[in-house]
Formats: sequence, structure tokens, C-alpha cells
Amino acid sequence: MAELKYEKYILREPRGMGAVPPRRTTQVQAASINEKLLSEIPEVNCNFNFMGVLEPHLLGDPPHKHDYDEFLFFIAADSENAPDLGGEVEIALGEEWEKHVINTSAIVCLPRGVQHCPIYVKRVDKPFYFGHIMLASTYSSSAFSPE
Amino acid sequence: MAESKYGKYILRATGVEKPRPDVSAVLSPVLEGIEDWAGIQHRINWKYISQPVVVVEEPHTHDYDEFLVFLASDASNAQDFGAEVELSLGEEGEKYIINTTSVVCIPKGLIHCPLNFRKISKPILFCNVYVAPEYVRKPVSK
Repeated sequence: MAELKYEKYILREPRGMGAVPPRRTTQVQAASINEKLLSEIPEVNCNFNFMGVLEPHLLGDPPHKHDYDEFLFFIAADSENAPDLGGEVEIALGEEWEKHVINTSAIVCLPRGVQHCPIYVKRVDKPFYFGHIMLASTYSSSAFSPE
Repeated sequence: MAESKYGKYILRATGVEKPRPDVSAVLSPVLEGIEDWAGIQHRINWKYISQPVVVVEEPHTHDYDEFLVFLASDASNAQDFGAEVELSLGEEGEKYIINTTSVVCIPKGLIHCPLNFRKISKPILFCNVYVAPEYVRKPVSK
């Protein structure tokens, strides 16, 4: 494959987040793309992350919003019981922290400026995929400020 | 949720479509973002692939960037990828084999396909991200 012209477009180790700390047992990195991995394709402006959710936990991100449009997604990894997610997640949307329960495969659309999180994975019967896609070269957010 | 303010921002999968009669391999689409959803100009779409299948035959391009994401169907062992996928890229039709969890970036204008899921020893997830409100293929003129 060494001389193939388009090999740079295939990211065979798409793990832009770096290694997940070994003691972290609640999630596993699947595929993520960031500016560094796309450094040979500078015309493309996007970052995303897919990770496997293994156990119930509260995701690390506090309430925040972005200057860019974003999707979050929760996808049953196994088609056998789809569209059942294989778990249950609560997500807070808006400055009101409006609570939504997700228990099927779902996409959450977050137009720029819409506050979101916390995300609480309440139950995992079967590991599923969770992640984000944002049309910006790097992931950045504005933290929630309570005033 | 009828009175919720943000419920419109959540798209829930309600079922899995039956495969086409001629294709037993693809449950399609599992979930696809809505066109022009709250003004967002990119979309995402998922499929499960459980048997060998050629999903797209014709080489084509798009006027927008696209990503093809190939994932194992066991989220707890995300690098255990049990399939071999052949993708042709460029006007030369160079063939690439994808046999690990991978992402392919297709910048606007790059000719791609056929996309052939040649061997499936374990089902995989195939996710397509495209930076446009509508999926439009431009055939390659010969």
C-alpha cells in the first residue's frame, strides 16, 4: 500500500483522543478525529468522537455550549435488539436543564449556543456507542456560568 | 414530552427497516439526521452490515466533505473489527482494504466507490457523516 496515492484519506488508527487511562472502565475509545489526524487534509473542517459506553457513569462534561453546531448520538452497537439502545441515559438540555431520557438509538441536535449536559448514563445492559460530531477543526466549549 | 422545549432536538429510532428484498445485509437506515434540522448543515446516518454486500457501485463525487466510519458491533471491544471492506478512491479507482476500525475522509470532489463489504465475519456498523443538508451523488463522467 506504500505507494498508493490516496492512503492519507484513510485513517487506520483514528484515535485522536489519545489513550484512555487504563483505570477508566466505564468507556472505551472507538474512533475519533481531530485537527492533528486531519493535518494532511487541511481543507476538511470537522471533529468527532465515537466511544463505547460500558458501565453506568456520569460523563465528565459539565453544562456547556459551543459556537458550532453539534450532534450527539447514542447508537445500539448490536442490531439484534435495535432500536433498543441497550441502556438508559438522561441528558439535560437548555439553561433550564430540561431532562430527556434516551433509551433507543437517538441523535441529539445541538444548534450552536444551545446549552447541554450533564449526561448521566443510568443503565448499561449492553455496551453502546456514544459520541459527538462538530463542524470545527477542534473541540472547544464555553462552560456554563451560573450568573 | 409533548410540552418540552427541546424535545424537537432529539431524533429517536423507532424501528429497524426491513432490508431490501435483494439485500439481506443492510438494515438501512437505522437512523438518519433530518434535512435542515434546526439549520444544521451536516448529517449523520448509520447502518448495520451483517453480510457481504456492495452498497454503492458507481464511482461518484460530492460537493461537500464526507466521512465514512467503520466500527465493530461490539462497543466494549471497539477495535475487534471482523470484516474486510474494499473501497475505490480517485479517478484511477485505486483499491483500498479496510480491515480495522477506521475513518475515511472524502473531501469534496474526491471520486470514491464502489464500496464493497467483501467479508463479514462479525457484523459491523457503518456510519456516514456528510457536511451538507442533502445527500447528492454526482456521477463521474466517463
